Amino acid sequence: MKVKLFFNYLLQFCVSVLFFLLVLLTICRFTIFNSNYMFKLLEKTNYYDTVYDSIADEMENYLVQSGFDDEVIDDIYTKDQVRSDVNTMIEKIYNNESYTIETAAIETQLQENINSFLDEHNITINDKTSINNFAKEIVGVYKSKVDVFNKISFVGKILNLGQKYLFVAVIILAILVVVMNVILIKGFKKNVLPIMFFTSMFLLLASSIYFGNRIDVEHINLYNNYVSTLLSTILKNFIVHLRVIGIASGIVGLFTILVEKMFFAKKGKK
Amino acid sequence: MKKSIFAVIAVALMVGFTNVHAMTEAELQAKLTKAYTINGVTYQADAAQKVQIERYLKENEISASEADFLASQVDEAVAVIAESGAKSISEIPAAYQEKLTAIANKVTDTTGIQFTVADGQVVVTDGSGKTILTAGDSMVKKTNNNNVIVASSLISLVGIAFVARKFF
Amino acid sequence: MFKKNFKKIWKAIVRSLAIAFFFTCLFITITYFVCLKKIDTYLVFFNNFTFSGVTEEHKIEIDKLTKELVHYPNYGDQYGTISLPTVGIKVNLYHGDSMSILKRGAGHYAGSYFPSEGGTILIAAHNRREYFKYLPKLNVGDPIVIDTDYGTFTYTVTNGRVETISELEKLDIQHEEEILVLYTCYPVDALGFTDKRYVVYAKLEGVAYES
Repeated sequence: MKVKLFFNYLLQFCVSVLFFLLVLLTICRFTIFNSNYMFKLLEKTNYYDTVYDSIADEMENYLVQSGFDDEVIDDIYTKDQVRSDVNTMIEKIYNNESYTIETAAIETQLQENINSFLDEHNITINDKTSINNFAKEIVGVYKSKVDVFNKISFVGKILNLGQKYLFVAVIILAILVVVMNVILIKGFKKNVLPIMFFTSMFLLLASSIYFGNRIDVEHINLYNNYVSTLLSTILKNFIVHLRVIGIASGIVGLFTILVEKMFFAKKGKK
Repeated sequence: MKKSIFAVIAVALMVGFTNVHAMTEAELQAKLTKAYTINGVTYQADAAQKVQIERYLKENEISASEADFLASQVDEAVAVIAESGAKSISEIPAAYQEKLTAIANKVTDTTGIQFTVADGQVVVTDGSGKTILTAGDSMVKKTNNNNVIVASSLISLVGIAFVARKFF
Repeated sequence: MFKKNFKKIWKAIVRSLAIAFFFTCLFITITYFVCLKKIDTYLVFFNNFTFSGVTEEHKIEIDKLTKELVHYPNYGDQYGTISLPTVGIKVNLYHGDSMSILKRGAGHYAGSYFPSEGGTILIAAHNRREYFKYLPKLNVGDPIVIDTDYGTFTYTVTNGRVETISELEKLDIQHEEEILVLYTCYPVDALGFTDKRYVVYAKLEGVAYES
């Protein structure tokens, strides 16, 4: 009898932990490991506009030392182009595919602008090496500002694996949780579901407190301001999700107790 | 970059202490900027980083007992890299990366130092936000911004072990 | 119905919460011994690595007795001006030489010494009319004046020549003698980016410290 009780509690502990993992992985699957979620965050943090402005600022730094006028870098790239390239990059990262940002149009427009400048000022250049260097750097600025993640390819692998296999893991965990609950309810019959939900609530809240304390999400500074803001937002949202779903888990737990006691009490009376 | 890595450790370890020191400034500076040969590979701060280290030592006096702590941490970090047998920073195995990361955390907790990758450079700052050292910063400002290419290879948003490898 | 079952419901809630709390503590304990310490190490490192603190203001300061610099400016702060009297140019001088600094004036390479420290001082500026465009017009013997919050330093040009980037990269940042090195892109009228620099070398001629 005692062995049976111990086994029941052990099984209950396992199902509670599994349920917590199920919830955690589901949160990850629909947030960090979801490209659509990432696109929403990019909109929310004005990522595209910031990248666009950042490109303009950096190009200006190069322009200052080049001898050319501002018109040379006018209209060589657009906000839509930035948006499209960033989205393509994110999509490729999540699919763990290699990609190259297409800059042919930028190069063409830039060369046209340079030629116009030279014509306007009646300048004839025999050796175009320095001008070509300048053009290369300007195009390089666009590439480096848009493609900030090109040196961290293992992130793509993790995101891609997560996207593929987390869903499967979630399904398997869900099946396990249901099966174990059925076994427990038949054998144990006492507050199986509420304990599972309450454990999940405690663990989710504890996780949100732990991550919230360990990482100073308000003062993240990595590489540049738009990457920092994006990273900060991802982490803040993740912590909020843990908290909200933890509380929801607790409410569901309370609800299951009420239903159990009132439904079964009613059934018992009948 | 190997030079930068050790300079970063050296500066990280000496920051944040005040009071009179038993070890002379020259001795401490020498210890922090000397060449360390580990597993046949030499690590040393370059000329620019030596200047920045010297500048920081001038501006901040280093405490006596804490100088011993610094020296011990330097020795510990060197020992960990030596024990790992790695001939380049990227070869350091995960277990040793973790030890080096723990040393870095200990130093940060004690000294308040922060370091980050920003604008294509590795920037080391003290607790008050003042820049101590910039690693990956080439002396002659070139038209092609090599700093970005060098330092951007250090960026890691997830899996800090990657960063720890590059720094230590 | 609810009132009748209230005691049972309350008992069930408390019991469930107690067991759930116990399970939570058990899970955290197991996790701690298995992997939490490792996760924690990396999280703390990540935090230290990406933390952006608030920068306090730092002013350049000199010891009045020894005339040695005791406090240095922050990277990016202006700490003086550099004048080329022969060509009538005066440029703001900043600590650091990032692209954004060079847009504003002359940048002092952070890996070189400050005026008064008796070492190599390396300063760059763009070849714009208001910055170092007229650097090639300086002759041997021409003065260069660096005016800072802690003193005025006068240098005399000893040499001026065209060097490639790789040649200039070999510049010895020494601490034996105070040498001022100014450079800008060359040819100064070139369009685009060149791999040559016009470099001017100057030695310290006179110092007037602020009282």
